[in-house]
Amino acid sequence: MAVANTDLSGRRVLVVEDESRIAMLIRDTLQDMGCEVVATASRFEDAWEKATSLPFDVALLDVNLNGKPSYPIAEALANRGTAFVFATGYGTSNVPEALHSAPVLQKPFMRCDLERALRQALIQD
Amino acid sequence: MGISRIGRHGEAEEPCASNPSAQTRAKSRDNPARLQRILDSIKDYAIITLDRNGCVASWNSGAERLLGYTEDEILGRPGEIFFTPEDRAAGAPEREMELANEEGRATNERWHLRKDGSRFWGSGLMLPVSDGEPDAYLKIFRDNTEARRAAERQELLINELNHRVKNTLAIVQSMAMQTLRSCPNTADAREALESRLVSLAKAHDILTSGQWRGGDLCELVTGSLAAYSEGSGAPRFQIHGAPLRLRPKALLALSMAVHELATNAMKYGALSNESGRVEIHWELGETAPRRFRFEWKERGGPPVEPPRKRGFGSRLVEEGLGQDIAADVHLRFASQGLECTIEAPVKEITESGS
Repeated sequence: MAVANTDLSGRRVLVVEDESRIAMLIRDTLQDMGCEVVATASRFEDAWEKATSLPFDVALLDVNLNGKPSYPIAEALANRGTAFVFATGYGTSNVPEALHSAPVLQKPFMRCDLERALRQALIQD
Repeated sequence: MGISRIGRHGEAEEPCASNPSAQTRAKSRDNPARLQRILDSIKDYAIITLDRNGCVASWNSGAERLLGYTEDEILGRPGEIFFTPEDRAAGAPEREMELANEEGRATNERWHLRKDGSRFWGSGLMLPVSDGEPDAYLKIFRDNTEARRAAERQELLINELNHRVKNTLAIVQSMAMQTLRSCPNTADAREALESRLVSLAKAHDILTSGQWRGGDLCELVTGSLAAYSEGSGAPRFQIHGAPLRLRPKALLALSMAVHELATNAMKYGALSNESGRVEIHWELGETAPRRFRFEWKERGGPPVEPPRKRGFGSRLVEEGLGQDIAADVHLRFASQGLECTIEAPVKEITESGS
């Protein structure tokens, strides 16, 4: 299947996650997979700034950033055709309909789940 | 239909003496004024009839009380007037009548609109009236807003709880992976992981006792260090700082930092010998922009050497606090003892931000 063959090494990833320990795990896992973590953001404003100014191939977006949903960032990325994956401890029911096609990574997740979600996002892109 | 009562000993009794004769019963059915009096005495329920087109054909005083329209105002007007615009657009009034016709009843559980535009949650039923004209449908409902709100709150809480549990599991997963990665052998990894999990659980206890709105820094520090104070003669810790109510995020982050610092001190620092001690001090700066400052200073331990490689513990303190509470963290491996300074904006630390 095409999804399985998409190479992740060298891909630049923006990590948006408000819990530092989870962010550390994600960063380490991405680096083990050969990805380059271009930046990490834990707050909405910082994430918005980085998502709209930095060059990257795919973003991993925590849905809830200290109580603030990250959907506006996802919409901005979708509008300019940049790939992204949602990460959430909630179900998928809260994701706005326009963003339903984005891959959703359920926390906690395994390395293979993260790989699959990133590949799926990059294929769609 | 006769009314029988079951007596005290279980045997059926004769219908009571006041049981109306067939004649009286017929009379009462034909007495609309009497029926209206009965209906109007039911204050908590709106009892409404609609004609075949869905227009209001009768209206009791409960309906007036609940919906705000008097009988004179509403008679002949479409019953959909007390449906919300969303439900009207979705065709709910028509569907309710169809369902009543097809199934013999339709549940009526929805937000209703009062005359003044406010909303309440109505719970009840719509039933078809046989041979009914002008009364084709009977609608009975009451204001159930409080129960509805409670159900909504509960759903929200369960959703939030689920989120917190999943997030906590992801944190535990992260700590397990990183601990396994950074510890050279299984025994060390096991001890490090257990103590990190116990520390996380204690921080949750403080949060739970404060209903997840926050907790006190003093309680956090003394609680985290209690295990390290046991058994030694001289006090190991000098703690100076005013009571300070922390936000949940700051409480979890600082609890993690204190735990990592204490564990390190126990292994290599001031708590690894008999005479070492730790000075802990925190304060809120007076000048704007106000900063929170937390100091951890070890003295009297063995001479300190900077670690050859950065461990997971110092990474947790430096990166973790940087991300969770926007803190600047300085770890100084001074020869007389490790010193750690944590500085963060006050709004990240306290509930009121002041």
